Amino acid sequence: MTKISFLSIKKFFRIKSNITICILLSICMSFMCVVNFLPVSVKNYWDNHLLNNVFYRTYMLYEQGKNNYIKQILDDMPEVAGAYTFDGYYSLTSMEELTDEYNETPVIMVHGFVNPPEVVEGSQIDENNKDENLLICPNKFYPFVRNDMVKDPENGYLDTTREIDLRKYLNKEITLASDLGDGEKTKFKLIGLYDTKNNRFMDKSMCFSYYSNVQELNKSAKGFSKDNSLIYELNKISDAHLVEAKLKELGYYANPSVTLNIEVATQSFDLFIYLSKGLMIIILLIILIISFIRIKKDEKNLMINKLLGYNNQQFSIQCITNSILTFIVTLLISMPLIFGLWKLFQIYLPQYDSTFSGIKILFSYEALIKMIILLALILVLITIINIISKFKKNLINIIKS
Amino acid sequence: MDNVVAIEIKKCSKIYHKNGKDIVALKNINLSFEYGKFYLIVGHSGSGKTTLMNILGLIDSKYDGIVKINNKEVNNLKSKELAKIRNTNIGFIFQDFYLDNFLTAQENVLTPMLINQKKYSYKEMEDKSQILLDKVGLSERIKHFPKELSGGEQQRVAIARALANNPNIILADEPTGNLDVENEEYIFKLLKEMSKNFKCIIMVSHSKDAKKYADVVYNLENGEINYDED
Repeated sequence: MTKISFLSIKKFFRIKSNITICILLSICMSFMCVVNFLPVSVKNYWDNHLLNNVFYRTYMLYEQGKNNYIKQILDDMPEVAGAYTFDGYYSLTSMEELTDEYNETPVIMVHGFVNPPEVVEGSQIDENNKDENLLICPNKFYPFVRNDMVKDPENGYLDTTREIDLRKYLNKEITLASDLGDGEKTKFKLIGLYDTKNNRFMDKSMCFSYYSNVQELNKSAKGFSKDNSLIYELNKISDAHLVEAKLKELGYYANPSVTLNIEVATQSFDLFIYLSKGLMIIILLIILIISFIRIKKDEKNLMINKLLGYNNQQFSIQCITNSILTFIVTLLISMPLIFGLWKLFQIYLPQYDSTFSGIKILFSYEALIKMIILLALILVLITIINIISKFKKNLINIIKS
Repeated sequence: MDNVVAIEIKKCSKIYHKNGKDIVALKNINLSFEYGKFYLIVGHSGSGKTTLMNILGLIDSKYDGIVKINNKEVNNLKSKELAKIRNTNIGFIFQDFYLDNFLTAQENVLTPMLINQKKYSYKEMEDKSQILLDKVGLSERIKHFPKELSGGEQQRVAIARALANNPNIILADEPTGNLDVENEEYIFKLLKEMSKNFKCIIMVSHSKDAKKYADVVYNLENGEINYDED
């Protein structure tokens, strides 16, 4: 550090507007940081509470950018062809192992819910249209609990007390017994399986409900259906079309009735995300205004320093020293603020928004690092503006003004 | 260092262009300033005094003619080299003091030394600045900020700062313009004393008493020079 930086450090702490900027930046950064704890916390929660929780995983990626969402579907989880919401639960469709024969099949539903032991209301199979009772399901699962059974087409009834592997039934007709009162059995043709290595379908108390076709699903998803079809709800219809197009590229047929409803979850975050973004913009504007006022006010000191023989290198050192100090002071103020806000969110957020009830708000180092990087970038930008403005000012022009 | 030329300007002219008109601030001026002398530049407002001071102080580099400092031409020097000369060879004193309000009296005096960098340690610089402030009678006020000082005291801090790097040339533009008679006399005496220490003092002043202290008086009228030597 040069001797001149030593004086700059002393001066920095004597200028009130420097501290004001640090405080504003701290408030902004802390809020943004803690808001970014939320998706991490929710993701963690659903990772531990929902089967596959593909919906939230994809939602989180979606929130980070549409391309990421697409990337998620295409690269990370090729087995996922779509997802829909139903009555607050989230399901997915898988097409990973669809046979060529059924590439064009418009039926893509089956998944388990944490809703045992009753089957979700309205999910009865359409007896008059058995040909369309096609099935995709996890390759391993526990069949229905209680006294329901899955009929093995070759060997009779399957053992319902252990996990079964359905791979050998692919493209074969099987019968699932409904647990709705009379034990009615319905025939299905198993057209696809998806890998369950990562799902947590471990609890025997879980069963799965199923839908053989979109119309059936429509009947069930009363609150979400319009015009006898489910609606694309990828927030923007264009995004949904994009997903559809990508799926087609892969050789899959995405039924337009399949809903990708992220609305429910986005409601929970939108407020905070928009607030943090809005706050960021407002505070950036304030910082820019303060910076420009300071540059204007600082003209006298700039003139004095130029007269006394400051060169461009020394001006740069001065600006960089100021920015480093702003960075350090902002971080120092931010840390307790982040901690305090985090605690406040932990206490009051579940009361404010029931979506968060039971969800533990986790501290995310990733969010913290992102915030620090963002702060550094803002300060680099301000430093560059300051240095350029100081280089450009001509001594004689400052004196005349 | 008597009779050694500190600054020399030859055929120096300066024309401002304003609203499509040419305003001649300096007309073909030839001047030389020697070490050990106290120069006073007088003239009416708009006569070109400040323009001349700006050229002498290497603040304004857009002019016609030649300027030499210590017999070295400075016309074509880069801004970094000009800054270096301003820092080491010239001390500035202004009517409005131009002190940094966020620095104490001592830190203001330290600044030119810090810019100069290499010569001394920070502690040595602090000691030196204390001696300079002591010289101008402010030893009790070194930790005060400019706002806590009177006009006369602020100007004395500015003088101490001008002397920080022990420059041979002092340019003083209306140094007593904002001061009372008592402080004015003090400042003039201080400048006179400096000139006796072989420094070249060039001062612009409207004060009637200034002539009593000056060795040479240049009278600027409409950008042209007349002078009387006492």
